[in-house]
Amino acid sequence: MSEPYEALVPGSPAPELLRAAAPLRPFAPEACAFLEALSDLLLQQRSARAYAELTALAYWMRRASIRRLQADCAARQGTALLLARGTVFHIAPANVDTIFVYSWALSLLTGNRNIVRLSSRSSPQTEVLLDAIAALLGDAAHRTVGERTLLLRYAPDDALTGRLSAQCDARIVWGGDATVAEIRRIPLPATAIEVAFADKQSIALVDAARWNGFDQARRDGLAESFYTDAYWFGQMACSSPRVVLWLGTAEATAQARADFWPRVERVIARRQERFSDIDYVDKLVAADSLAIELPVRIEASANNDLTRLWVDRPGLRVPHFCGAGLFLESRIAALDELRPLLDRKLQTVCYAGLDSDELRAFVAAAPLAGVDRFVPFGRALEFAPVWDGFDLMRVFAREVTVI
Amino acid sequence: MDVDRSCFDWPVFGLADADKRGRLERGLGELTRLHARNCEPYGRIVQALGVDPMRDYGLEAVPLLPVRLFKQYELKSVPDTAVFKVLTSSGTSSQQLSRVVLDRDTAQAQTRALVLILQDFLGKARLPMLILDHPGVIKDRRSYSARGAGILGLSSFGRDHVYALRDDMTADLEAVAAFAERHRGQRVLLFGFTFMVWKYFVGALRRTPLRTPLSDAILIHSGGWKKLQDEAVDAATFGRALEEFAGVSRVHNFYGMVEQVGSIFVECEHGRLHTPAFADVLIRDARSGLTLPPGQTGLIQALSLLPASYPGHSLLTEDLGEWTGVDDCPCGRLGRTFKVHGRAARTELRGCSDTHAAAVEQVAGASA
Repeated sequence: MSEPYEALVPGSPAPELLRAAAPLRPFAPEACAFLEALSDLLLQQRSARAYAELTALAYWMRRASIRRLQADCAARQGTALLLARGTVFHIAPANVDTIFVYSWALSLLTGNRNIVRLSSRSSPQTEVLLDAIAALLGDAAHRTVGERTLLLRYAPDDALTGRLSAQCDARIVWGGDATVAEIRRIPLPATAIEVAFADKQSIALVDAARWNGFDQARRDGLAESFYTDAYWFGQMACSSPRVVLWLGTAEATAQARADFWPRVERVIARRQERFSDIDYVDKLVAADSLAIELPVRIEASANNDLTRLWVDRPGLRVPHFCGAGLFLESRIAALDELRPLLDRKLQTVCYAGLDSDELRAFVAAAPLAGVDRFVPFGRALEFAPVWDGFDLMRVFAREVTVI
Repeated sequence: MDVDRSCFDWPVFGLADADKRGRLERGLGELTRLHARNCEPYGRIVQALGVDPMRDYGLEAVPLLPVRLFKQYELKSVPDTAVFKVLTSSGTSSQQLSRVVLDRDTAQAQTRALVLILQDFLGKARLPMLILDHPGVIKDRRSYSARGAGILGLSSFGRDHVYALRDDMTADLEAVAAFAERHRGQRVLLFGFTFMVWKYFVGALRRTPLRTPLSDAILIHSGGWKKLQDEAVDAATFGRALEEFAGVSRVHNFYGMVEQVGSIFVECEHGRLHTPAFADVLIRDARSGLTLPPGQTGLIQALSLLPASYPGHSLLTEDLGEWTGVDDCPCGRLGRTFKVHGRAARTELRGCSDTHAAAVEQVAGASA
């Protein structure tokens, strides 16, 4: 029978036949063994080791790491009785190549059967991953997982998305506002839930006075971490900072900026590959557009790998944003000035010169209109089972009450 | 607008570089001041950059605008009452169009510049002119495309105009034959856009056994080689076909843009594009922003003294080029010369968001 999709693992079950296999218990040995085997395979393969994001994924799936995740889940869950929902339909984003595995793995560990739709646009990283996954699922040792897994690709096709949605108990939509709007038009079974990941953006927050008090080595290390957060995916990851918000007095901020940016520029000079010519033009267009629409000052920089604009009135949005190292800077005098700026589109605050206790107190003090996570410099791009405010292990499970 | 137009008294290809540089710096500085004062968005950009418009800057330090801004904003330095016409780019329908606002003075300056430049290549006599396009391109006189502007601009330079194409883009071979017959043995001028010339004019002539009896035709064409490169047609193939099928003895390509109509850069018989006295070109490295020496490829920055009704006197294009020399072309024309290597490539979308949506658009675009 010919299906209107491309199954990425030979012998995968048809969507309607997935149900023949019962869900697994949370952290079933077969699920853990599969992820561990995938981790081993990625760490062994030279083709996979060439990509930092695949290495990061492999480490995240190691046995010890899964154990920690299990312990963490047990602690959070307490006495609640959690079971797999059944079948989860994941719609993966196109260009963050590893997201589909994180989403699928967490759902698998919860015990679900999974349908994973990958983007029709491929990348070398995705192909390496798919080869490894297909090799493992082709092995009889991983049949339990294979029977519960359908990885596929297809061009936009509402009828097919509808057919797959009809089979699912939860639909997870990655890929931003437009994708969410497209997919939301397509119905789900009445008992199914949907979690959608909207377009989000992120900022950096630096306490100026404390920055000025750090020793040289620490400041260099933080500059390096900031570079990783901002530039690793060309600043286009939703967790990469676009705004740098300085916390403190005008004097301390002036001093900190004069120290911070040259350090960042030294890291850029050492690590950044050339963007395309059009990326640089795009930034120039963005900077000029911002200058037309906002009272900004375009700051001088060593070269066009870094474009920064100062605006007196703080804001967390960057209209005309195009990535490739474009930052809007402003200053707040106290942390509470952040509150009125927050909205649901803010995902990550990457911080330096603050500590987690202060930030916890800030969050606990009053309801916040937005922000999903605070992470120290250097950890913006780390995936975590709580993402955009959703505890995915919990989303993938249903709770049964026994009184 | 009261603008100094003494640049039209300068020898159009006769200013040595040092002399030209000084004159351009003064003229461009004057335009920077004028636009900073009269075009609010431009004034804001200049202010954000910390540029003091009261100063004259060296040629390399004149503030530049990315040409794409004309697609996003209406940038004009004249009041609405002074608007004489608005040019739009002839890009494909899915893209936003550039809008270039002209007052009478700038429109006239464009025409004068074009005449001065082309006279240097064609002589002063008006030549019988065959336009390798269709007459519909210039129907609306207040607002028309770059193609229309180019045709109108060059038309004033010829006589006995005949359109070689009909409105449905088929070649009107009888009209062409009649034109050739009328001007047998005379020098004539042909003008068209590179791709149109190839596809609709050469294409039609190829399919007919008739040969036009043009014997001394000069073709001026522009618009870029991109589409022809896709068909593996280079300048030499283009020239040979025109000679064989249409009796064209000389071909001059020119580089220009709707945002700087008039100050065009014409290719001489040695294959170099020439900058006229009132315009220049710098090549910039996109990463460093610095100007590049001859022989290195970078983004083309086009400078022109003509735009007074809109802030287009210093524009960063999205075209790649290299400069080939200054005051040293064997053809004898002074000034900087350069080559164009085509459009800088756009890279793929990246990031977390909306990639399925992009795929949807692509599919929709393909079926449209």
